Amino acid sequence: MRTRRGIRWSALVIALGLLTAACGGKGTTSAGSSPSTTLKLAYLGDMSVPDPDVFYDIEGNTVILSVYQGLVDYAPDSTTIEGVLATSWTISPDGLTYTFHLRSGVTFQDGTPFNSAAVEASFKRRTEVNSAPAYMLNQVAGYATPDPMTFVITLKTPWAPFMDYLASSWGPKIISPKVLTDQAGSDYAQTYLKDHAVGTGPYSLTAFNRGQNYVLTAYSGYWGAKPFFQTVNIAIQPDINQQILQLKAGGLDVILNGYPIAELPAAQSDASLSVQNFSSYLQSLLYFNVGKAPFNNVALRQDIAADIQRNQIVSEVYGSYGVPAASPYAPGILDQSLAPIDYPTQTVKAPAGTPPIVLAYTQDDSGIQSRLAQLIQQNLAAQGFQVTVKETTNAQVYGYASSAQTLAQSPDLLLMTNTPDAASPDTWARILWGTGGGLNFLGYSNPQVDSLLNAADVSTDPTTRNTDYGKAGQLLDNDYGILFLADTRDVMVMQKNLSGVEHVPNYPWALNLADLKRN
Amino acid sequence: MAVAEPVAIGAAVRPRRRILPHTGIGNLEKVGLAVLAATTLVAVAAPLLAPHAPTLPVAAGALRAPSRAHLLGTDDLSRDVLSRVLYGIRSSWFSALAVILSGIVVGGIIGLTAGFAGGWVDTVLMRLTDLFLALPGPVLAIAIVAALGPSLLHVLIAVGVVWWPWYSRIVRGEVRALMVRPHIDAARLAGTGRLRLALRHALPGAVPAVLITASLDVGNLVLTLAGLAFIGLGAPPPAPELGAMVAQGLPYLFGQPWVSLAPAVAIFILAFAANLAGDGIRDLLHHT
Amino acid sequence: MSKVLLSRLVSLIVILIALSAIVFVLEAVIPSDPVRVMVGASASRQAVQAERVKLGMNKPLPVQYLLFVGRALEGNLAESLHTHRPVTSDLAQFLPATIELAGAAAVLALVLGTFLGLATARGKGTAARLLMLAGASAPPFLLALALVLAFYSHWHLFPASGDISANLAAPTGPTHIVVLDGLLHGNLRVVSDGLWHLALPSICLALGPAVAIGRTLRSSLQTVLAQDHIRTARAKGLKERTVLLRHALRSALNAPLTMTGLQIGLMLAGVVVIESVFAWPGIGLYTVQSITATDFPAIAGVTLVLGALYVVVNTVVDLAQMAADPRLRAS
Repeated sequence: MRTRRGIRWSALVIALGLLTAACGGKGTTSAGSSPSTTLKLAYLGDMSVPDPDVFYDIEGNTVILSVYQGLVDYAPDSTTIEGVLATSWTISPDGLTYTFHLRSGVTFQDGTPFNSAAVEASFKRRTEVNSAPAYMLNQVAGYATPDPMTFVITLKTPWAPFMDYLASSWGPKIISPKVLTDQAGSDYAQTYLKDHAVGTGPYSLTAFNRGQNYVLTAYSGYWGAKPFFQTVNIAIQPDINQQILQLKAGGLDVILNGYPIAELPAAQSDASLSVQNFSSYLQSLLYFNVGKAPFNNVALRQDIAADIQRNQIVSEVYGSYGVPAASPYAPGILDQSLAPIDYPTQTVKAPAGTPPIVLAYTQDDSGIQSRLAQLIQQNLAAQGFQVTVKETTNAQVYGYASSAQTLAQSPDLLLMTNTPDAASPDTWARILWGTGGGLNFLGYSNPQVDSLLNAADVSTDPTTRNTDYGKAGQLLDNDYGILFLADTRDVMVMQKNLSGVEHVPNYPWALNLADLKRN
Repeated sequence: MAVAEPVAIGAAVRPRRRILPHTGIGNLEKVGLAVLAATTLVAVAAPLLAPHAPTLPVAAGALRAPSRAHLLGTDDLSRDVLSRVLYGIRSSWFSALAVILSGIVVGGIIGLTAGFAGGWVDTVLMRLTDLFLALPGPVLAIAIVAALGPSLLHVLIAVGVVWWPWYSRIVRGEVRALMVRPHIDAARLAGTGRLRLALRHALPGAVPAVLITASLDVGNLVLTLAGLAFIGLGAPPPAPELGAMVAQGLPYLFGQPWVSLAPAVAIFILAFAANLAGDGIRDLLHHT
Repeated sequence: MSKVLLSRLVSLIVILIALSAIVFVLEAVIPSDPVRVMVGASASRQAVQAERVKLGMNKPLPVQYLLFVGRALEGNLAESLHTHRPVTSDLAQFLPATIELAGAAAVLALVLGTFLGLATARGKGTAARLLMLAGASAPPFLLALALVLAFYSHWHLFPASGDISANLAAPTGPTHIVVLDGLLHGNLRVVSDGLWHLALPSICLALGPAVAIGRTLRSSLQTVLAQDHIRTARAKGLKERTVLLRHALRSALNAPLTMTGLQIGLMLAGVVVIESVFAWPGIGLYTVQSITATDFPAIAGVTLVLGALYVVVNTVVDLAQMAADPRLRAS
């Protein structure tokens, strides 16, 4: 039984324990003194999988782009395509044959040598896996590997956006052929690649602990300039406040996305932090479920467009980091005057007998999505609409349009932030409001749009092409199939002592980790 | 109100003044009861007290600091925080009362029947009660709300389902104790019907124990409901629910802390007053 | 004694059956169709139907229930809709961290509660009582945020997320509990780092239960201290402290022990909030993610496992009480 001595002992033990803990902690890693060649990042949630033929979210971009490489990519802060695993390429005059000269001396992170056979295996796998980004190779007729350093793609028809697809962060990446053979199993190595990644990039994925952290380690056999940061640790931290605390205390180096706009002024006045914002193609969108009542009625959709106080909402939520969208196409993708947005502004009351509306929004721990959704709810409630807001997940969203039955049970409105797959208008129009598009979550379909896009993509004249893309955008606008709320900037807050900060508008929430340095 | 205490001859220390002495409750508990009464008043009168509607935006704009126009500032949707907190107190208070009342009614009926009928009815009902008592309440409440979908009604049902067993046990215990009292025997011998016996004799005797448990429970219940709302299992937005308000204000914690702190402190005050008052009621009833 | 043991075990099994039945009924009630989400967005209707048959969903409910129990006993708890892994492997991954946190908090709560109860047993102790009451009334998220702001942001003393520092690798040892594995492998750095991360969340989790245990112990002690045998002990001339600790405490332990069992159950609810605030990679965090994703197989799995754990712990506490206090065995 407890005695006096017993109590004294337990007190001693507890004190000792706390002391050990506090000291031990200080000894290992206290808030500010981490080894400086480790880059500490954080994600608000797990990425789906680090498999480049399946991955279609945004937050895992840093992982994919650090471990894998494609034939080409975009140069920083531009839409110029530059060679990565291809040193040069030629396109035949008829637009059907693309010949890539591959880089020599490249190895995969498991030691396998890089050659044209490896490229072919990866490209073929993308079509076989047939997940969201597989559409990019739909126009391919065949591949050829005349020699180990030359890779040829033959298309069925000329396809204007094809090079942009290859440069996209969701574009075809080259996976180690050894992995594709050894781990093939019955699903083209998808099970293995659910938590492993082997590419040619500057970093290897040395740990993938779902819910906890991912670790990237500099690949010693990388063909390019060796990165400054030898280790990158990406912690899964769903609480943006914790991320902010850690950033201020030096426990995080960059907050890549989700920094609350309202807190940015405080970050700007913090001497140890640097707030940077980059151009991006991110747009905030409100989808309509046009297949069922009440939004199978274009007049009602137009009323909703009028009732949502777009300017006010955008300025409240995004501050100086967002503007009301001027076009379905983000600035930089297409001349916005070719498809200008002109939503009515005169508010309209809800017609009598309008059924209650369900507005779903994808989760977002920075609070922006929920705030936008509730502001929209507020605006519509003021006009007499009955709106329920409901949080949903990416996984659920992808299931909405899978069949007529699921569409009938899906929400009436869906609020999301999305970005084109690449810098070509096709990679936005086709996947967002083209029939069956990968981001066309509520099943909008207009055959005229589809034929315009197909015509534009095979055209060789940029002017008619752009006019057609523009017309496709206008059709969507007049139909109020999707409301475009805001064009937003990509805002990141980081330690001031970081340099070599490079960002590509088409790779949102990501930086080029290999070029980053700490001063 | 204060009664002058007689000063003992030669005593160097004056005894402490007691508010309303002779009731057997400490000063603290009386303060608690007072706060609780005030809270009930606030809950009932919230629509009259709140300066603005809880779900409509105000002209001042979003995330404004507390000022004379808005004593607790505004939240991220330009709503007056004070009004939302008042309505939130109302919602929490009535929700807690609803759960307790349903627990008392359901548990009371079961306990009364069991205590009165005795025999196998008693055994079966008490086994059922024990079963529900043994189930993991909070975990089950989460599962039930997750299954039914987030709405205030579903939360009340879920929490109610796991809350009633306590009352059943208490009522049954009290009833059984009363059953063996001489005056019950006398009444029964006099030919009083069983139902009448139950309602007029047994039930009133169980009231003090039930009241004590209920009053001690309120604080716990307020915290449980707030916790469920915090993780998203409560009335959906834009309803003014204190726990949900805390969760929603978290992204603004450093720049605009009042958005989260005001509802969190309101929960704290509510629970604290309830606990204090609960202690007081228990002291009071133990002395009678 | 063995008769009592047997009856308790029978009760345990009955409770577990009831728990599984409730979970099963809940699963049948949810409005959305999980099969469609499981099979995949682009699956054909035949594929969905085939999956339904495979899962036995076309059979009558009681048969489905038996299949469900059978699968559960085998350790097969269906696949999470969100992570696309069997719920059992998700649970196996996340449970050890919760056990570590809840275990540490339970120990803290017991010790702290005992101190509080003993310290405030005698005399009015108004300030202490108020403080304890305040502790019992504080919502866990308020406490968590306050501690994080003070000890992490302001004083940089303790970390505020995760169970181990990013640059240390927890040994993939036998228990998957960071501190224990560290001890078993003799890796002191891991042990101290684990304890460091454990500090804030376990204090947050332990405070409410500690106060509840303390209050129960206090009132229990006060009752006992007023009794005759205590007067006798005092009359014998024993020191007050000895009276308190050696005589009163033993008789007063009953109610606090029951309260401890109860508090551990309530702690399971607190775990969910604390884990989401501290990003502690345990069941609570997993539950919150599953709630948002409407991943009912995962929620069902968590309910079953945590529920069973709760019931087992309570039975053990009950039996321990009975072993300690012969008066209880009569019931």
